[in-house]
Amino acid sequence: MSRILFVMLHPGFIRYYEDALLALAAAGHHVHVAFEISRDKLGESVLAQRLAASSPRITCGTTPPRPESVRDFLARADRTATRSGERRIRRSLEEAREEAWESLATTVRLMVDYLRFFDPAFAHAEKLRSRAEKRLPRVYAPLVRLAGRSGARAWFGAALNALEEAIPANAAVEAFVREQRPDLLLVTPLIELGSQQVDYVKCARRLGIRTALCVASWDNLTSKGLVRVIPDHVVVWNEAQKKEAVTLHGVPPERVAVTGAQLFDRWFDARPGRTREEFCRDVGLDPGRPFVLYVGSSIFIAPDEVPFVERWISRLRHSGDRAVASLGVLVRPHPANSRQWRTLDVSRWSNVAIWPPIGSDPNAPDFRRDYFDSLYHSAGVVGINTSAQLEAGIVGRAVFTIRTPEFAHAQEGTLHFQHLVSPEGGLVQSAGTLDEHVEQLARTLRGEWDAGEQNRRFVRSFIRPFGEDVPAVPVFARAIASFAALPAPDPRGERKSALVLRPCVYAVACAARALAEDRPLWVYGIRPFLAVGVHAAALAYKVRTFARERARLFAKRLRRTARRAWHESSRVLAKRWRRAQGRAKRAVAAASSAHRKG
Amino acid sequence: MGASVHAVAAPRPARAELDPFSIDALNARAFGEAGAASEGAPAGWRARAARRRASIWQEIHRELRRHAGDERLPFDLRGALRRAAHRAHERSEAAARRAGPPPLARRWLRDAPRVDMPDDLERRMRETAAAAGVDPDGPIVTLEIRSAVENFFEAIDDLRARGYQAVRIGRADAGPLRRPGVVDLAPLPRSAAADVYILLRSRFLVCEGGAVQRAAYLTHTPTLLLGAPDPFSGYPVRRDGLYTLAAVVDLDTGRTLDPAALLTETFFRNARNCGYRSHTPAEIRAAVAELEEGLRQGWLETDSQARFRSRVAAASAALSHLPHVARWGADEGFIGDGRLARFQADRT
Repeated sequence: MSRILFVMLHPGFIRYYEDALLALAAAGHHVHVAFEISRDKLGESVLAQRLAASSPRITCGTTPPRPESVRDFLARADRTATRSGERRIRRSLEEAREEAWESLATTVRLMVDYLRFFDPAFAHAEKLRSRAEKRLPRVYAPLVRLAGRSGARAWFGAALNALEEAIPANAAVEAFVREQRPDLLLVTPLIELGSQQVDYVKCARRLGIRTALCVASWDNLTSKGLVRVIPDHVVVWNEAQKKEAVTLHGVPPERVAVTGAQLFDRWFDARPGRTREEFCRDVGLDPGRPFVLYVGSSIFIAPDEVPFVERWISRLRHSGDRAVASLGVLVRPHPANSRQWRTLDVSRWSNVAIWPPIGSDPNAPDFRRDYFDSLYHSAGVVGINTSAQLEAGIVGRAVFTIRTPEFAHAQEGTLHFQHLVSPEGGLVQSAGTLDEHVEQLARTLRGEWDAGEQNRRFVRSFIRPFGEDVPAVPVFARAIASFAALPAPDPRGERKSALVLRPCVYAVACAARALAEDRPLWVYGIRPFLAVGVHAAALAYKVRTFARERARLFAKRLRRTARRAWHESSRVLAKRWRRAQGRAKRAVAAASSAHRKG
Repeated sequence: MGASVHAVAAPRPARAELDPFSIDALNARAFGEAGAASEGAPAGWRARAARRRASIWQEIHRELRRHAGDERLPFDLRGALRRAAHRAHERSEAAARRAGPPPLARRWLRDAPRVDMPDDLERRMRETAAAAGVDPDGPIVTLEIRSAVENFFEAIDDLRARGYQAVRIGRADAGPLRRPGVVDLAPLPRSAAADVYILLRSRFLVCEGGAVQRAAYLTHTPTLLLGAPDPFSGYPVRRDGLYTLAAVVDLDTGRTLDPAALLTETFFRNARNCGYRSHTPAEIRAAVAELEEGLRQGWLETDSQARFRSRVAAASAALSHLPHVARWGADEGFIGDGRLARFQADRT
């Protein structure tokens, strides 16, 4: 049986692969899951513990620490930080060298990621482009913009790829992969902006280990970075993602494997945990009325969602259609974007509730059951742009969205939204205005429109491409097992050109390390002078301190000598005085005895 | 410090593109504001130079702090570097203040002359308004709405019963406003001067944005500002002004902050951790009724309203070191002759 190393950015990605990993373990494969960074925002560490406890063939751990993670890189570039921090005192030249290479790698990858958003496919993705730009130190942004807007995009991209090739593999990563000796290395998500997972793919290639990228979610290939070093295999959900991998990331079609969306299998088999009446009573809705579920979106998609939802509920309540006006409304905040919902005062309307309560633990046993029940018992699901809309489609509910200018960046401005609303196979009923949306809801409530066939078509094309009844987890597990069973590729050494260029590229790496601080260029100009000034002042200070210390010591010794001299001289004098006194006494005594005798 | 640095990096407004009789143009000319957002930095070489100076001092501050953190340097030298860094930071802040928009000249605004349109422009705007269904000679109330339009229905019905015609201006992001007695200009393509014309013709304005409120000071239109995010920026300058504060919610605990808590430094330092809740229809109706009655029957200020004004003025002096308060707070002790709506003042 095979040994598989799965490198994940953080334990939150277990949610996407938990069932698939268990299936692999059940088939006898050994899987070690390594996390690049820790994250416990939504209790992700619990997921890792639960996964490791679920099978003796699954182990979890961390990847080796990096001299400079992407997080460190971005923190160094934070101009608004009040404390610029202490100078890092490096232990060795080797460490300085590694930090420089890491800085260059992150810089090059962030530039590639920014550059990709100048592709005509992203013409409307203004917010995605600006997000990628914000991560990049400002000094590079005009250069990338110029290349992106001129005809030099391909040329500039090729130059960046050549730089990426010239960056040596990270020694700690290589040692880690060598120590694990996997038959197959899996990585996810790989496409985070500036991701360092590229190094795992590079190391595996060098060591002759087969690699595969597991595309975790439906927006991964279109809203984030580029697959900078193409692995041996790319595992995607469906043909639409395969097309994205090929056209937007340059992955050869024969390397792409379509398996279906393995994370949604549980939704097909799930059954409600309670009746509709029980559920409505639990969440505080009128069991006698149908309700619509509003599913919140992530913070990037909807940073300020509450005012919109207030307008939406108000519009429903003032609808001329009695069924819509009295419809129950259940709001389900996005687990990672729930704080803002504290400002929604549901008491101002009747039959409106928020569920689950804000701050609920997403790893609690009832959390998923509550979620399924809220989808299952709803009359329809409304959202801006979120994967909950996919889940609603699987459960068979009518799904709605409203296109609104405040969320244009997350709707027309993203490519993955088109999967939802595409006339050829999308599952969401999209409305340009709230009035149109209310009309769509009213039609659904009257039974004039049934989402069933549309949802099934979407599920067949997007979620389960091998058939509605064919679960994706076994397909995914079989695909992974077959990759692991393939003969290992030949180790690919570094290109000679890369070795020749490396000394020059190292100079670039040192510059990249300094420029990652994202300071104005004149700062780098004055820095050596300031450093010399400060160290000269330090030297002068030390000299002065040394001289002062010496002088103090000299004075002390002088005082001591004087005291000693005084002390000793006073003792001699006293002795002489005593002797003189003795002599005088003796003389007086002799004189008086002579006088008596005489 | 971080906020001030962000402020100095704000984009310059394209003032040349503004219609000279738009609300944005009035704000830009009178208050140095960059359009409807009203928080942008002013243009001009002086401001640019000040921004540049602020940036340079800030960078020097960071460089000095960088060395001050080096534990290999002598202790006293590090202390000296820290003090120098602090001085550089103060200079940066001072330059950033000079680069920012000027403080709101509340005393000047109280006595500011009324802005009027040239006759030919007014005639054209009158025709445009009449064509849209506005009765320019009748009693008009202007609405500028950003939250749910349905929240205003009760207030609109009240106004209609009292013989007013409501005209909505501004942007239509909150959706169309369809209600008897309302002319909704917001979704219609129109000249930017049309909004100012409506303001000039109105008995009073009910708005949810500070920029429109300040433009109304120049047209001498009494105002009701709804849902001000803090007690200072929207405090009405003139006696015929009223405002309400948005309910501020602590996003960590879900607790609604008392209006008195908005007069503390903690609130401004923790603003990113706060969310805002809009008013209920009943609250809007009460505030509109208070303004309408005040204008019709004369103002009767309650003790709580007078007390709140004093507290805002006192807090303004105490918090003048905060950039936001320095910009919007009291002008030599004068915060305004207007007041907080009674339903809120009575709760403080």
